[in-house]
Amino acid sequence: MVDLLFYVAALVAVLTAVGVVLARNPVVSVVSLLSCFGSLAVIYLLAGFQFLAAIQILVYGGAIMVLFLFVVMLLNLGGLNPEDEDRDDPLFHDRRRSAGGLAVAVALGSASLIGILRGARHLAEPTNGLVPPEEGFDALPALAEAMFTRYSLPFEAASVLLLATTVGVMVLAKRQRSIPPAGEERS
Amino acid sequence: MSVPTEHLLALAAILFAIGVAGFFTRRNLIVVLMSIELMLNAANLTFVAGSRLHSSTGAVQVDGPIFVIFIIAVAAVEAAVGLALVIALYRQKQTVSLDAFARLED
Amino acid sequence: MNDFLIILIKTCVIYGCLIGAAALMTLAERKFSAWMQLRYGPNRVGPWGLLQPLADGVKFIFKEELCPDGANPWIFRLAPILSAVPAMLTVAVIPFAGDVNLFGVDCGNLSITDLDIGVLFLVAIGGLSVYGVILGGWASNSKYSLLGGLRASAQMISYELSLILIILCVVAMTGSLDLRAITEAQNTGNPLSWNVFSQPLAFVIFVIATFAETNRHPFDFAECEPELVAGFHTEYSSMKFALFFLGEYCAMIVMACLTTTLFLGGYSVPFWEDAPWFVELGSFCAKAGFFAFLFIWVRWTLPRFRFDQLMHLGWKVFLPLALANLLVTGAVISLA
Repeated sequence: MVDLLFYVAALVAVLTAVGVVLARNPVVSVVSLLSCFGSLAVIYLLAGFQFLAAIQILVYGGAIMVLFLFVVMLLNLGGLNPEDEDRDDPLFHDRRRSAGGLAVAVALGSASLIGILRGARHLAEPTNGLVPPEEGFDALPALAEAMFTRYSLPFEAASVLLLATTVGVMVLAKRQRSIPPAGEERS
Repeated sequence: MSVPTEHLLALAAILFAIGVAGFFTRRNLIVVLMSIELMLNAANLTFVAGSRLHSSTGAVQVDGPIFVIFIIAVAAVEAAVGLALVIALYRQKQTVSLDAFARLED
Repeated sequence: MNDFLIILIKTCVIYGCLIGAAALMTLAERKFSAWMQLRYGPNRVGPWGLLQPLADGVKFIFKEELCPDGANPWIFRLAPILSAVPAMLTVAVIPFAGDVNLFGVDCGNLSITDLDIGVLFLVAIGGLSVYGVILGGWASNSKYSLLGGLRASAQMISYELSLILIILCVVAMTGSLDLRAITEAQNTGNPLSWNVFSQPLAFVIFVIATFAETNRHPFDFAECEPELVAGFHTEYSSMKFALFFLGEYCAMIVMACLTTTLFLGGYSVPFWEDAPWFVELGSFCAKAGFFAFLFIWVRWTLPRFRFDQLMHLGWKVFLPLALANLLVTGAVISLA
């Protein structure tokens, strides 16, 4: 039952991911990617990672995709006007480049798939039967302890990165006095 | 859930390949950024699969989830900077098509 | 099987009450506004107009469904669902009362589920309701709707930051993301142990931020009728509009419940630590009802802000204050 749910979620994830690439309208791409991330959150939840599932929805659903949608709407790329650019087939507009890109993707995908399926029997035997403990694989106390001891340097680096981004984005977006991007300070 | 680990990895590989396809074929900058997000998520899924495989009930393997959290943070940063750049570029050329930005000097 | 049945009944009862409360709140909104403006308000349908929400519902069902020309029909239909469903999902983790014992049957705690990461769930799912507003605004193919959606997205992202930082203060004090644990930590029989007394600044910021988060007056720039006709739902009619309405009121009720849980001790009763569950439920409803009333009270009292004032308030006042509050909270906790 739960396994079946995983395959349903996986199918939805793949279909919506294809939708992201194929959609002519950026807004449809955003909605598609949002559903893809939603089904990934479901998969995390099924696999026993409750905290990651919540973080996935919180950060991707609540912030990043809103930002994408905001920019698409701000620049009015919604494709409701006929003179928009990706109106023609988005994949095969430039046949040569598209063919190259697709070839790379297919080669990469099939190589890793073959590798995974052939190497599957060499994977370590799961000692836990893959059944998550009561509080999940990502129990918060253990996670927090590792985050602030062993990983304290990457943690600090991430905070510096976020600070630098905040400043950098403001500089980038504030060159003219016009509409600021989402989530950034308005002067 | 008793889905074998290789199925999670396979899903991650498929998602990554779709992301690569979008990255190379689409010309809309915003869709390209979204493809990158997709690839980062595929990477997250591999970390989750690995962490699930190597955790035992007594000793939870937290490295996987922590890496996922860092990747999500980096993905957020990438989206913010990327979209700010998109807005700055749009102000110059009134388009977000990659073809318009193929030359460095203008 | 019995456990399953109990959970099913609890879920049905809580969701029934939520939708009923949302319907009653639409009536209360009109009644209170009438009272504040020396009018009568709805008083034709049923005693004191109590059946008015029912009549409104019937009216909505029979209205014509319109889909504007040039709109994206799928996203146009998706948006109201995306607005209503997350708002209703979040009520699942609110603890309404302690252990319920009904006719000798132990029914467990009165909440649909007690998640370990309840607060996170609430914030994450609640954050999704912004999509209903943005996509509805975009899909309508109308400039007023688009502006409403744009404003809503900027506003909700901005205030979510302060909201989460404030929630973190409370979480840090309790040491748990479980809403029931947060309530139990305040349930000592002494009202002074409620978080509102240890975190007064956080409480004020939180209440104001919930107004912005639910797009309510004085921050209702997504609708803003003098400027944008009706904002993001200008083009919506019939049940689609009713779903937006339902989502808005459910979000308000959930926010009222959340404020109660985080700052006013949830279901804890003053000076009575081991109160029976129905007293606890009454205490919870009284507190949450006050905050629900506050939403209405403020709407009919204060004038609307300007959008740049709202952004200024969010980024230059609330965010630094919330950060400072978190810093002080952390310092006090680590020193104590």
